[in-house]
Amino acid sequence: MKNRLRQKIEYCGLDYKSEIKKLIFINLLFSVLTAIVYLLTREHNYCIYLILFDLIVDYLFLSNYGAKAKAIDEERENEFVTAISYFEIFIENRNNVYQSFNKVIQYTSEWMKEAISSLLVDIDKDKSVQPFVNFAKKFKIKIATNIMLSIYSMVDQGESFEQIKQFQLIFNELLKSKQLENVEKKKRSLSILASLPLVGAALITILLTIGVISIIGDLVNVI
Amino acid sequence: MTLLFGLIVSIAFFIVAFISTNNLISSAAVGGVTLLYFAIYATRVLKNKNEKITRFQDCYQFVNNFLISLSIKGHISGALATALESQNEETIDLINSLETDDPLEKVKYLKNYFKFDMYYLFVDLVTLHTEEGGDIIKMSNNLLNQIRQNEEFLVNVERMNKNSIVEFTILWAFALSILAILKFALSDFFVHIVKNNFYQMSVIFVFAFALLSIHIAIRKVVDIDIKGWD
Repeated sequence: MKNRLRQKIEYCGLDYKSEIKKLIFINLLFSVLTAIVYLLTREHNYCIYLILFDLIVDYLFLSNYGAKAKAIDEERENEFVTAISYFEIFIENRNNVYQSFNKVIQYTSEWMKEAISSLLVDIDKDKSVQPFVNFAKKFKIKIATNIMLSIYSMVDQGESFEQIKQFQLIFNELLKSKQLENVEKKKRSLSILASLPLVGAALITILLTIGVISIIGDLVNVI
Repeated sequence: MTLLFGLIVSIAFFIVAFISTNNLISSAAVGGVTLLYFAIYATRVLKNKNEKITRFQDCYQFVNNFLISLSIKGHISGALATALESQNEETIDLINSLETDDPLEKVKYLKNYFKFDMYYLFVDLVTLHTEEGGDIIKMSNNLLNQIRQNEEFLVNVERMNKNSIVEFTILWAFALSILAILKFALSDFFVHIVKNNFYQMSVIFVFAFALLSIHIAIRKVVDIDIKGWD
């Protein structure tokens, strides 16, 4: 379990030791706070609430890495689609596979630059399909392997019209599904907005109910 | 436009807060903070977003018109002149301010204005066409498709944003109207409730939540990724 947590933290580009120090610091802070509250109030209940709150904070802190890792995977997927769409433009315009990937590098993030540079270095050393498969494995989408294999077939059999057409067929499927996914993602993101005023209305109702009940309580006491 | 909207919202918040709390100071604070938020933050981010979208649409028009003109006229200077006809004064002034007469250099210079990956790719294609010839429409087919798809996506996103904001505004108007109606619905009872400190703080809390939700809405509306534009 410790190794899995370490892998997740390092995958997010963070330092494992710093993150553990942050977690220890948070728990120490809560422990000190609990001790102070107990010394001042001598109430067990408050201490239990603070401990529970600390456990919730710990859970949220640790589960945050999973969400970050997922966001990184999604960003890399989008980068792959973008990079290959630029590759498509270059390959259609008198560039071979190597030259096209070289030109794509200037449009990518640091991580993608390293991945493509590493692919180009591997292609120089190994003329088999392996460098392409290794590059595809960096992305979680399954179709990445199909796309890289069709690109390899361009290297192996020349960048003929048929090879390019085959590559475009596979890539266009991915492009279409990504575009639909982006539209759905935006719709989902905006749909949350409708729930915020409902939460506001619920808050108003709850606070109003508490206010009315406390007034009635006061009146009953007076009677 | 955003500032005007912010002014209307802050006045509405002030009125509803005053009706529901009878407290001028807290109502003025609610209205004031809302107006400050719109003046300092919301106006700026929405202006940046609109500028980004307008610039991209100008870029799309420019690239589209340029490529079609280049395929018809066969020379860059003619294509540039035609493409500039659809542009705003800012772009035209930028081009006219350049000392060079070379149309390709002018097209390359616009990379400082159209800071999108698509424009950089367009410049690469035009440069390649200048050096090696070929059918520019065929060469730029994929690029044009991608720019067109991005443009369609932006149009869809803007439409979805507008619908969401309208829905969001109407729902908040209903929610806050509950507070305003309280005074009239509870009548004598309201006089006792409004003296309760917990009730006063709760109303302020509700407005704080409303402002937070406006902030979340603005963050979602401006979240548009166009490759190359930071």
